[in-house]
Amino acid sequence: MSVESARLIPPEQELTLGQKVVRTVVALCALALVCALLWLLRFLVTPVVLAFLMSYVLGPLVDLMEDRGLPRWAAVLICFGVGLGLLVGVGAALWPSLDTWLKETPKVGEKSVFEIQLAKRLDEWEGALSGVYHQVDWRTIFRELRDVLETQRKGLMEGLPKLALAALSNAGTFLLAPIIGLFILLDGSSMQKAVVSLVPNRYFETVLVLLHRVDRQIAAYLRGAASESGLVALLLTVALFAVGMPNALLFACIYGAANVIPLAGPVIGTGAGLLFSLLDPNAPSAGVLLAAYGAVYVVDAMFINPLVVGKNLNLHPLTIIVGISIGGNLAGILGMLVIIPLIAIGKAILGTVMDALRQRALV
Amino acid sequence: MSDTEAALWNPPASTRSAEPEGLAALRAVPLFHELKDGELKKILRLLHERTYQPGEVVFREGEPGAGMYIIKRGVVDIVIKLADGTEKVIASLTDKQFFGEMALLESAPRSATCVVRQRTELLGIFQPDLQTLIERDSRLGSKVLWNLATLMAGRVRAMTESMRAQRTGGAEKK
Repeated sequence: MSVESARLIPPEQELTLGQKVVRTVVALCALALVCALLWLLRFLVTPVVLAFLMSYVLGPLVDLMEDRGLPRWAAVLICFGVGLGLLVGVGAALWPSLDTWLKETPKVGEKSVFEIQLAKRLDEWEGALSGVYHQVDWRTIFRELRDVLETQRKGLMEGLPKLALAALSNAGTFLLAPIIGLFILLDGSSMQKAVVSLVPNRYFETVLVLLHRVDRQIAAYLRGAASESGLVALLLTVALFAVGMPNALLFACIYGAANVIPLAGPVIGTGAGLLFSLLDPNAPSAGVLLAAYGAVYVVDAMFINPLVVGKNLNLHPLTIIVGISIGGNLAGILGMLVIIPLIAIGKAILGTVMDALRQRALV
Repeated sequence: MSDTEAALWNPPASTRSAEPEGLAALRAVPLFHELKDGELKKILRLLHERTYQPGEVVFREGEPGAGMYIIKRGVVDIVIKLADGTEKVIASLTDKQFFGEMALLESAPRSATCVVRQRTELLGIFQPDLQTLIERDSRLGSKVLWNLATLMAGRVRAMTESMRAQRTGGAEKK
């Protein structure tokens, strides 16, 4: 069978200038509407982002169980149960040190053990330094240091009730995240199909391929980062426990969470442990701690990172520094932790979109 | 089109009548030949259903391909552009036939344009879906890949025969 004719394929629709202008205006209006809607619903952004992160991390486990014959709903519930169990387990392990800390919290007019310890250390350092470098006015320097620390302490004590109130008012947001995550895990593929079905036929293949590539990039990055943080935290718990560091699990968790930030993360994590060791007489010396942190860093850099994270997103150090500054400025430590994965995800999306559009000669 | 070529486009006759339309369409596609019901249902979940109006283009020659389509209902023409600028319909396909399967393996440009002649419902399976299937169910993925390889081997053999016939014909004319 073969039919020959001059025109069997409908020509590609060439838009007139007027049509192009109208389409651009409509697209811009739609974009503005979406932005306005996002602004109105900004309280939902955090739980939705957290829910997506959760679903990316738990997704492969759910898929694995489903492929082994378990109904998807059961696999999701088991994963949530295990996740919740892990959180409760870590909380229970951290509770004794937190409990001690809370009991040590002073009443009005009293000083905490931490403050007494700090004052004692400052006196020791002042005495030691004054004995070696006579020409420096250590008395004035340490008086100013004590003033600064006192101002910070007062600020923190006055700010604590506000912080607790803010945490309570945001509790709903953090409860919403697992609920949204649950539904994404249950019906994620159907939701994606429903979204793709809305795309006009002309752009359908492009959008489908694009969504898949972005999804893979984000999943690989997030799963890699989560696994790396978990393994590093586990390894550091063992190392810190071995050198006799009090609250080893707590400091390992801080290091693991900070490890998400490239370059600065290990420094922040190590800094937290070292600062504590300077103030706590029960902590091992700074040198021993530095050796423990250093060993874990080397194992991470040489074995865990290349094995677990795999394809690096290659963020430029300047991007990381600027990103951390912006994140820290916007939302403190949490902002610093979240900004780098967000930049990495943004880079993955942009790179993939541009690749796909270039391939299809749309740009 | 030769009989061998035609056989590659055309599905075997469906043997079951009282089963869902999507499943029946899948069973008819050589790519999913000899798959069990459970396996076909898994594949059905991966498919994207699209509806096209007469005159609409499913894909154009030269565009990067992303996957294959199965005709659930309707008629499409596979059209190529000749060197002199004219266009030629190389195949008219209807219910339960399929096209574009080469794009499941590589993202090379489409070798022909697909134009819809009647209102058509298509089921699309795409490279990313096949990759997911291979990752999640390697046994089923292997079966589909084996069928795809067999199909490709058939295509190559048909093409070789066609070229040999052309060469023989040309030599006889001389």
